[in-house]
Amino acid sequence: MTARGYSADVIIQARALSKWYGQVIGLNNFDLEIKRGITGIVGPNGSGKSTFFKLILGLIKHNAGDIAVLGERPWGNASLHASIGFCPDYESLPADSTGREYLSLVGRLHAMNSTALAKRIKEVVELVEMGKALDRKTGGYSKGMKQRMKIAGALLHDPRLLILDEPLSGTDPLVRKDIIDLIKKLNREHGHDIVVSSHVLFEIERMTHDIALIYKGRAVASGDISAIRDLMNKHPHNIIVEGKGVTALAKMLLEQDYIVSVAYNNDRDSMTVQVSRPDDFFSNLPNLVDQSQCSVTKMYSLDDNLEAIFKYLVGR
Amino acid sequence: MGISPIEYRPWKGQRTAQTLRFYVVARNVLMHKLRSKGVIVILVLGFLLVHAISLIMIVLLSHERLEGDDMNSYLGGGMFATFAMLLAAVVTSDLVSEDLSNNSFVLYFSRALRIRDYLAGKAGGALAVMSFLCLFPPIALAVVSMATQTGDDYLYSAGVLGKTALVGLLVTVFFVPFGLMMSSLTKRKSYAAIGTFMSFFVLTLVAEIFSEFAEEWRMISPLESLSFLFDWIYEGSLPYFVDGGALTLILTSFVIAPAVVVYIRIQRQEVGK
Repeated sequence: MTARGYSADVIIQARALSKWYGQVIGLNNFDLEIKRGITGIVGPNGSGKSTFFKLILGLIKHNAGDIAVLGERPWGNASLHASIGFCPDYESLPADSTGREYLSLVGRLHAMNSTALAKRIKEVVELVEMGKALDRKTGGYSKGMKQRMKIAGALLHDPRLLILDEPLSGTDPLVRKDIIDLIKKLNREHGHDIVVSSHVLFEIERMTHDIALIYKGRAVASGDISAIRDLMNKHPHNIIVEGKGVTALAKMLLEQDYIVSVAYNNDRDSMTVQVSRPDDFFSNLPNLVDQSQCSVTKMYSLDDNLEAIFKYLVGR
Repeated sequence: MGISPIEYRPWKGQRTAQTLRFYVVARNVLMHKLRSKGVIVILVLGFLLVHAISLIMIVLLSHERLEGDDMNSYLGGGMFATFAMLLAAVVTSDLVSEDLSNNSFVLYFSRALRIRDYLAGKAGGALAVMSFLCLFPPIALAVVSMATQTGDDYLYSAGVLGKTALVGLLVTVFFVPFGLMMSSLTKRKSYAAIGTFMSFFVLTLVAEIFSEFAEEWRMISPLESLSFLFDWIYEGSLPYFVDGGALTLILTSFVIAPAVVVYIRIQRQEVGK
């Protein structure tokens, strides 16, 4: 099952990897090398990120090319899962189980015994700050709590490699900041190698400078984020902010020099913010939310700007 | 809700793949089902209506040895199989449908568990629950009957006890694959439960209608075919219109075909080719 010819520093290597589902191409002649540390996989929805993750996990079989994860081929290699923790992008928690029951099942699936497992569950839920909600049914969790519990499940067996598929999607800015801090901490302090996906480049930038851009099933660029960021900054970035009392936030935003415009959408609970320096926007937003006393329930970036960059990169 | 610094020590335990990981899934199903009110109600009702009355009769009435005829009338009367069918419908209804609904397959398949292990675990848990109604009570009843028999032909009684264990095992296994299949076809457990029960009910109705023209049609009724099987096991004979090969084929197809369908369904829909 071991793949030959891979460097120890490389945790994932795909060579001419292709996967298609009938007439639909998921990945097309995909080449990518991911080294240790945190790596961001960025691409619009439908670009092939989830297909790539499924191939990493050996959940599906590739049609052509080759892939190695931690020096081994993942397809049909169930023992490799002992070294990988996966947090899917969709809701995957059993709704009628409590957080503790979910983590107990996950731990037992990793052959952890009851005493060590109970201790480990305590450690992990403290890390993701879910201790108080541990004995509640996961069906009643908020989006942020579900993301934390999914990350706890991925972390439980202390895998070398963590695969986090869109861990920030649907979370509010404060939870988003906490999860970003958690991801950085897991790498910096606990040595986990992490591959994290997003369709928002600026979210990834807050975690790592090593990125790979995926577009229409191909890896169109990989390496340091700064060059990509320069390209991005030439275009204003559109961000949707939703919540109660965002009018006060809008007024404060308009005073910032990195804001190009603020426009309300259908009602005064949702606005589109156009920013020239997204990194400054994301850094300052928690303070502005706090000062304006508003309640932000949802925030997400629109794809169109990123799409333009991808089109530029693939020469279209 | 910030992430505050805490003392975090990575888990240093063994991280090997486990060959019997399906046991974890089976245990999880069993624990979950034993907390389900619906399952408990059916188990209690089934025990009272099917087993308790027979148990009282055996204790009260003098008998020389454990007779196959008696066990056949106790288990083959229809009530036993009906409760087994009802319990299977309730137990299996959410086993796959909930995972479909919650997208929970990745919980299993990203953790060194293959489809066969997953299905073996789910089926194993369901079989364990079914055995509380279909396997252990008939065996217990047969043992009580042997303990209270007046004669000394224990060898004969032990033979009937063995046949009872076989019957209990077959009924335990019989309904589970079909229930799992129905559960894999929908995201709603209520649809799966009703679908399982109604499928068997419709087959029974069809058998009833067509048996007016040819009695062989009675074999497509799961309850009737089980009853014929009990006759075969306990008395060594079948009704004149039942062919042993055809009965075996029908009973086997009730188990094998749904098992194949659910395997293919999970492989194609959730895991990929």
